[in-house]
Amino acid sequence: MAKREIEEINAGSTADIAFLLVIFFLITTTMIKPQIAEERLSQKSDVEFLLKQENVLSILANKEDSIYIQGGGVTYLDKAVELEEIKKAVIYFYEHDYIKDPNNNYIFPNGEIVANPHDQSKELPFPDYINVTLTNCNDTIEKLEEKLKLIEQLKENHPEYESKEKFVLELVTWNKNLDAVKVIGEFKMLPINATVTILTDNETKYETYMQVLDYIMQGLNELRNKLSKDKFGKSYDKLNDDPKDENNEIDKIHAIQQVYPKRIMKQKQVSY
Amino acid sequence: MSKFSKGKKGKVPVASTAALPDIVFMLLFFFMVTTVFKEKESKKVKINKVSVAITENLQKNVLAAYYWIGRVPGKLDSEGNETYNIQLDDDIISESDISKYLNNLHQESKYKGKWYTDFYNVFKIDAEAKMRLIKKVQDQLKEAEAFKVLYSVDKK
Repeated sequence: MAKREIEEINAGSTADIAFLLVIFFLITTTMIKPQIAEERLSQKSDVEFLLKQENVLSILANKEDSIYIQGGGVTYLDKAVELEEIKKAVIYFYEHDYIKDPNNNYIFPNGEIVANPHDQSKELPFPDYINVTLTNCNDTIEKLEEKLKLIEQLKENHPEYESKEKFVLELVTWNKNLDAVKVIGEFKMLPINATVTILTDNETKYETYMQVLDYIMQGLNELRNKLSKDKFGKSYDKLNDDPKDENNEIDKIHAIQQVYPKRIMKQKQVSY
Repeated sequence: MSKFSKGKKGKVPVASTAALPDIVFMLLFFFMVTTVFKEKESKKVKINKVSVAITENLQKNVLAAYYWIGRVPGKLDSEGNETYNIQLDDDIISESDISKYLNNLHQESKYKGKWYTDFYNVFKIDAEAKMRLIKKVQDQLKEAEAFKVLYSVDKK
């Protein structure tokens, strides 16, 4: 019988195949990014700004996990409300344009009319919004810088003179306002010391607390989305936030965040 | 053989690449076997995560301390309620020791100069946990001047 040689299979390309596999897995493997909700704990310096009652929107969660809302133009303290109401209350608190009609109703720019749900005869104590325009930005910054210089000079002789910390903070805010005005034009902003607070009882469930936090963020997100769509034609979370990308829109994001800042504080004591 | 060697005398033989696939496959298998995805999961406490609508992606690998606050299966206190334990990084810890732990972290060179800007406290908390415990823990954070808090959640 004739000896038949078996032809050798060319295995030269297996290396390439293996490399291809390695590279394919390297590229396609994406780990699921963990989802988070962010919060900053209050520092001592935050507390002293809480002066006026109308600048605070309090959301209370008691030990039965019912929700009450107080301040910020809404007062539902007498009865527990649905979580959905938090969203509304936050929008009212941040919403910058409203006209008051003779019956003490508030008319928002989208045509929605809101009456004081608590007492028709009483006015809703909304915070005093600050108009931010290019000129008043520059003016305020100038004034604040002068003020800071003055304090600096006075401090040399009177070390007890009022602290400049507050003005430094204001200056930072106004510089941010200036940047925001350049991007989106004039806007009205919440007073610097206005904030949303969450009050919880010791026995409140963590889940309830997170839901409250979430509904506040939903309200805020709705406002941010609306503004973003008006100014830039796409929703807030579609804005490109990649710092490595040349066409990123981080300045737009910062501007929107400046108009509708996330100001949430957690209070410790339950005082009702 | 003689036929072959005739014309090719003096030439350097071509290096065989036949072993290359084996080497690459070995590499592939090595990485496949040794790669463990960094999974921050607690084995010691049981947690039902809360789901919310608005979340953010955790952008990058951040400097962080990880906390788990959850039930210990089968363990009850004197009144018959389920007990909640705090696990910080790898150990079950009592809430009064947290600031001490954080202060020690603060001293480490890795955290120097980044404590106030880049250091996060990532919480994974059971939905049924009471705010009392969480407030106690966060008071400890404030004492250690670690103000940035992230809550790990599920997206609705």
